[in-house]
Amino acid sequence: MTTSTVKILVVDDEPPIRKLLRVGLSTQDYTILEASNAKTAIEIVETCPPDLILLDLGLPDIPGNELLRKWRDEGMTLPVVILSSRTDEAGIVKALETGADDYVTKPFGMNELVARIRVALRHRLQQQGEKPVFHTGDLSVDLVKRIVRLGDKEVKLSPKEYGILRILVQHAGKVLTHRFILDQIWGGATDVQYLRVYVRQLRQKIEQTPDQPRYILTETGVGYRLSEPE
Amino acid sequence: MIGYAQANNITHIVIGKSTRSRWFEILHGSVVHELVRRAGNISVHVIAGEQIAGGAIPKKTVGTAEPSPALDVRAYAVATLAVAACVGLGLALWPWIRLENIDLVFLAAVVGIAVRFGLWPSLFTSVLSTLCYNFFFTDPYYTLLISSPTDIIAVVFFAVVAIVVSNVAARARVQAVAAMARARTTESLYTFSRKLAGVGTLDDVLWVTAYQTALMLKMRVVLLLPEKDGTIAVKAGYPPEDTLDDADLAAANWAWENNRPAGRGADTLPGAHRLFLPMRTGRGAVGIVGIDSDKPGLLLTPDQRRLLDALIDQAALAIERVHLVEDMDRVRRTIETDRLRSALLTSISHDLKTPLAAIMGAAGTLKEYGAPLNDQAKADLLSTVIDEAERLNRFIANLLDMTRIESGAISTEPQLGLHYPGDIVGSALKRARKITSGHEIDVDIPSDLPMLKLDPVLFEQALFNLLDNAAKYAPVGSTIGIEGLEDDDSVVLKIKDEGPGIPPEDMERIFDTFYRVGKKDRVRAGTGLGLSICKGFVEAMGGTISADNRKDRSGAVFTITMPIPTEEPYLEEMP
Repeated sequence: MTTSTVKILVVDDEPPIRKLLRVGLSTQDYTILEASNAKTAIEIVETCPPDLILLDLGLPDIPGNELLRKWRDEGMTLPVVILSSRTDEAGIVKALETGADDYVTKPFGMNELVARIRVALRHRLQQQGEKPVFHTGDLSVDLVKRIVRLGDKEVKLSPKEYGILRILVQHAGKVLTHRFILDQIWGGATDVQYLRVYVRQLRQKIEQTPDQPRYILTETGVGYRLSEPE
Repeated sequence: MIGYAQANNITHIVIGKSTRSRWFEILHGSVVHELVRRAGNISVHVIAGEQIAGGAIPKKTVGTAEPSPALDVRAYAVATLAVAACVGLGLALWPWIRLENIDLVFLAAVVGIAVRFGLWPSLFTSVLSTLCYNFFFTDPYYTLLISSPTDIIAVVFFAVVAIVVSNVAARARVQAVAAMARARTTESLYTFSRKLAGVGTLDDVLWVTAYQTALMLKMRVVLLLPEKDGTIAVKAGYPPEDTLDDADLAAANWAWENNRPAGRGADTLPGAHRLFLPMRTGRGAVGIVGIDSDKPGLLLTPDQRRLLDALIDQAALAIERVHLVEDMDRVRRTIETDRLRSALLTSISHDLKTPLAAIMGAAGTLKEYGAPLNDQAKADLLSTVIDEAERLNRFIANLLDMTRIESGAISTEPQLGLHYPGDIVGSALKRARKITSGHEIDVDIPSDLPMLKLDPVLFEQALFNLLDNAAKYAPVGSTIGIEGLEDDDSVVLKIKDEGPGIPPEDMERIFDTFYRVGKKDRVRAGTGLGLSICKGFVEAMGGTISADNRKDRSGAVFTITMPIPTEEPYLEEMP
């Protein structure tokens, strides 16, 4: 085992899930550490810090959300991806606002999980070193010159529309909660329905079929996610 | 005083020693002596009367007699005027009529006053009339002397007749007044019972009871009903009251436990502010009514007590009626729940076991006999495992949704916000991509549809279930259409398929829980949950859903109608 492999701590009380993740993620050359409860997880993070944490919200000793809050309060900056159940949108939003990087809902596909892990790791590694021009599909966004193109046609965006797109691009592939975007663009004092109106306008300008978007994806009940470059 | 003491079960009386003069005592008797003589088994304590600085102790007395009606000055004034009028009339008629006939004028006044004002004013009128008669109309005139014996007889007879007539007329009045009071009581009882009959919920019954009782008795009323744990608590009051102090609560509890009156004026715990009476029906006490008033003295006259008894008897019956209706509802719900539960068990055993069998079979085959299989066969088996697991997942999600609806959680939980219907349709299509992969999807949602007030998670699930349903019943390769349009004050979404349509006999029950349409072998049977979840979710968001068959060709069409919120966001005003 080399020190250069990425270490992932799986915190989940269900042995079958840990087993699945151990086997599944090993195929991607990740090293897996396991914790079945919050206490063990805290010890592992202190003694042998991993590169990323997969955290189940329903832990037996401390709720996942509280564990995450404790870690973030203590200044722990490791990326955290939440494992959650489908019916718990409120819990997901809470975890994201507490400082989780992303989430997957159980049952999840392994490819989905790997994609989330990659995005979370990448954003931690190169937080400042964004590429000046972002490409996904036909869409290109030049963050320096503030030019948005669809194919080779320039798209005119209002300042607010551009602001939303810029934030999505800066966190490409990562889910952003409504609250986060509102805080960034409007300083928070705005109702989420205005965001929906602007996102709709933005989609009408950059998506071929705005009702079935390719770029700006809706995470129902949680927020938006810009699809990653293929 | 003794009467009050006996009525209120008082065992000790403390009285101040009289500071009145001996002469006063000889003339009027002593209250203290009289009290000691008549107290019977009540202990009387006499304390020295001391001069107390005025106002040092607030005056607090309890009236022991019913306050007699105040002297009706008006009645006597009217009586005096009537007599004066009679004198005037008599003097005016004097030249033409005889003395005996003057009597009749005065008697008319006496009868009039008796009927209008009762005994004492009419007696007053009688006396005054006699004096005036004597003064003005008997010789010698303008004195109270009478010279002629016939006049003496006339005056005496007049006096006797006037007094007798007073009595008779006044008694007739008392009876008339009593009859009127009875009629009023009956009328208000009737009104009360009609009001009680008109209300359905326990809260309304209690409110009407408290309000009407308070109004009719002119007192404060509280109603206490038993809680689940057997204690009683205030459920209604007029004027509104939430809590009782400890003394009152103790009295109320005693009244409830012993099914007898307690509190002020009763045998038990007379120290409480209120009088508590049990509300009884044939099956026992259903609650406690507590009354009090600021008026000192006797809380209830016998008449009021009878009225109160009648009121609380009716209220008790009404409360019992509500309880019985609730019991019946509960029984009906239990039966319905049992029916659902057995349907659920049947459904679960089938819908869980079928995909599980496929998963176990495929996985087992791969593990035991995987080696000789070619890659294509292995891939097929793996797809089966994944597909069936996803089906299982959808079924479990449906069961969870159903539980949320059944437990009523949905009715309070929707996270309503303004959303574009097109956005949610997009999310639902994205989630349903895999199950609709064998079908063409034709979306026609105008981009100018207004925002709707809905919960995106619930609405997406409702659309997803409709897509799932369409994919199940319509043949592979056919088109599933999603159409949106604005219609007056609502937005209509239609999900159309090109399947066989809904058999007319199933149309009624298609949204019922665990109801499935024609389970044929070639069609993968639904769980019987999807559409009823749709309906539950859509209705929780204030919309409606209906099912029909297409008019243009075979196929089913489901229509969701959502009201357009009245306050629309204004783009111009957007920050």
